[in-house]
Amino acid sequence: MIYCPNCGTANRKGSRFCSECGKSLPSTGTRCPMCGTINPVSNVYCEACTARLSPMTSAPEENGKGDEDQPLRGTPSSTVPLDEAEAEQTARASAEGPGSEDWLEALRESADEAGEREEDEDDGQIEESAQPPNQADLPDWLRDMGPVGGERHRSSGRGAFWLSEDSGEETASEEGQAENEVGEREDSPDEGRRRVASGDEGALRPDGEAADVPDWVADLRERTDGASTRPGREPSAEEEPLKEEAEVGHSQAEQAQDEEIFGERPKLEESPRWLSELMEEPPADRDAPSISTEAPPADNELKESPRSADMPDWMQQLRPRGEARRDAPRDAPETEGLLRGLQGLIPPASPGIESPSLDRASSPVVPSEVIRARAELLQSLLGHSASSPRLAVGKERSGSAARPVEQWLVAIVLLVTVLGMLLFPLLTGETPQLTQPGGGSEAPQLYEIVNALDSGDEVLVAFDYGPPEADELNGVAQPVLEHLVDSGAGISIVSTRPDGPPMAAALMGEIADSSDRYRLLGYRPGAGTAVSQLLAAADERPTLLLIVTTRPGALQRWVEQASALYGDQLPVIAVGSALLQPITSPYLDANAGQLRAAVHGFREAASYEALRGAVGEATQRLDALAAGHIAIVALMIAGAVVHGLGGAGGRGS
Amino acid sequence: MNPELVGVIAGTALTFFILSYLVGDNPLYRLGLHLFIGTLVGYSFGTVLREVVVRTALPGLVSRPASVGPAVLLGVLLLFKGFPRHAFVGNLSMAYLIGVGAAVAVGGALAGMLAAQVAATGRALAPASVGNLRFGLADGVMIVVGTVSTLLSFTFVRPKAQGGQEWWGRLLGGVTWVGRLFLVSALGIAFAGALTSSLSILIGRMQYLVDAFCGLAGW
Repeated sequence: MIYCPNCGTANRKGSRFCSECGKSLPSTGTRCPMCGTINPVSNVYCEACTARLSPMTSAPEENGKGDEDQPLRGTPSSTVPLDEAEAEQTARASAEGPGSEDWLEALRESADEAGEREEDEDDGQIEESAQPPNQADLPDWLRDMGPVGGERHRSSGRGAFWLSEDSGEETASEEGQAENEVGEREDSPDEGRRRVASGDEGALRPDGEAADVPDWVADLRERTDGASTRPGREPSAEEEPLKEEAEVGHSQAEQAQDEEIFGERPKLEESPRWLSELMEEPPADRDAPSISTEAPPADNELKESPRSADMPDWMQQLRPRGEARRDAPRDAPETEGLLRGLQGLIPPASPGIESPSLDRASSPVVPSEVIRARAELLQSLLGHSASSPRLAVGKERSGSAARPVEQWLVAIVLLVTVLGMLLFPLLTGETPQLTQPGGGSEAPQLYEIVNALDSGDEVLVAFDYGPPEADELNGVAQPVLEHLVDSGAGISIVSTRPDGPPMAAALMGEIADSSDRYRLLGYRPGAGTAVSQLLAAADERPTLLLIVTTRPGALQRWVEQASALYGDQLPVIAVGSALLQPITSPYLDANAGQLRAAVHGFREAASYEALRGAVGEATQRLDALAAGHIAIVALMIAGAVVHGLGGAGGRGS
Repeated sequence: MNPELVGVIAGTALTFFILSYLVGDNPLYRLGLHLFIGTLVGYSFGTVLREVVVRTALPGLVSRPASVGPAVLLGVLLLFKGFPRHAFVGNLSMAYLIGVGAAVAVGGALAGMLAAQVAATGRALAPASVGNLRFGLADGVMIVVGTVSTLLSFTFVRPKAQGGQEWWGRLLGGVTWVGRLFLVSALGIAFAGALTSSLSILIGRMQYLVDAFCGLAGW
């Protein structure tokens, strides 16, 4: 998939334009020089026109074999090391001598004949036969690339026509010497060896003029050579500012060291002119910061780059873009933190083949003020001492020192209030009347329902609470259960909690004088499923369902399943904690009718006890509950006042 | 020693262990907490083992193997969930449990709660039903207004006011504000209930200590 750099849309591989926004897509394959189709990198031939995409690397076979390996018209000459291949083939054939293969012998003979023919022919004939084909017969891109095809064949073993034209005669020894010298001195020895071995006389000629070589090739050669490190080359007038800016150059000691490493420098008069220039070229940017070597070419280099008309399309895409960053400010190296030792900015990664749509992406990154501020903040955080958090924790602890005091204050006030109200009747023998049993509760309705039960009725009691809630719910459920036992109705107790049956057994053991007055059905696993199964599988529908719980979920399960199975045919009542009152209110609505009545908390339980004319635990604890409520309200008011005064003081200070 | 006395002493000690949290997290509080949780879990496990395995599954395999056998098999498969490499074996049991549980819960919620509550809200202002309400018509109006406004308070977006549609946005904003008042009131009542319930538990625990102290003192 190719992702559009403009809108991010994923396009099919090989697409040239975005299917969403129509912008051109970056090329990720090899563009065919014939038709421009983008092919996968691994392709040798174009999928559209079958043109060869990769250069030829082997000599053609005889008897027509290997015709598909013949260089095709339109193959980019600059990327085809044909001369190298032919030269190596010739050298290999001469080295094999007698006993070699027939086709090698033939090849050697043909090569010798070609050499003799070239020596015998005068220059005029050579010029005549070397004339390039009519320019009008060539396509534009091929015309831009220079001579191809037959010219290259004619100059087989001696380099391309447009490189070998007007070249001087070089001896084999000179070529070998030049090869050795270049192989030692060149940073890219393959390049020099290829040129020399291929007999590229144009490359070895002493007076190679820029006019004889296409501009783009000369520029590429200079660019390639300039990027490498070569001692001895004097910078040109245009390169002088760059040299000064880069602050590079070899000292005498360094040059001596280079000679010790690379050997004695060849004599300039024995080398071609262009090779001498290469050897005299200073080691540009050897010691320069990495940012300089990684930066795009400067403006003056871009100005000298070949014109668009001189370069084929595929090479134009290789052309570096963007502005030079030589004048970018050089930050000091990081001294601490994760980035210690690093310097400068990391340049954006350049794609293999740039497209015009990526111009903006390849522009140099200029940090904004916001980015700099964030970087400074990060640096300050990285350099922050580890003792500061401890100080912050210490401050927080000192700031929250009043919390235990508040806890102790609240606890002492509540304990004193509750214990005082519980111990007061023991000390004085009289019960304080801080409040009255709840009026306006559902206790009277529940009392009427239980009071209407006959001895033959069956009541299903759901005991869904455990030990944590027993201190409250035992006192609330006790009067209702006592009323049920007194009514003579059959009581079946079931629970959907494992700890429910022991709670029921303990409470019913206190209420009923005999265990024959009730049945413990035990624990039923499955929550809602167990409730549904229990209600549906009952052999005989119960007359009344009593839910004793403190949890909204349990109440909801029982009410919903009873309503779903029996509708309003099964009266449901509930006994719960004060926490449950807001939950049961919607079910207690007269129009809903899902709960006939309910008792919540000590206050309504005390009201139920009052209806029965007895004083139970709920009534005894009611005053303590009322006193506790008063204490809580007082604490809330005091806390609000203290907080308000403290807040005002804090704001004032 | 009287076992009841031992129970009272242990209960009193554990109560003070839990109350010692006032001075912060301490070993006594941790001891009481762990004892309580461990005892509860152990008792629950024992209860399940007794009620499900001993009283239901084993006798059922003998008397009703056709009906109890598959249930026991599913339960046995569920044990593989404890072994990560073979946990997939228990997926069938988990699927059965979740499927049946969801079906029961959804059916109960629709038929037992949603339909009943919607119908009750619709009948709140009916003349025949107003008489059954505690506060008559005011109660019915409160139910309808509270239900509608609370539901509308969960409207987090509204159409952009254009031209003559500004009144709709203002009306929706007013209803939403009323609904939030109902919500805040309901949350306040729930918090008050939780506080009262906690205070009731504290009172019950203090009552237990007082009774234990009076019992030991012979009062």
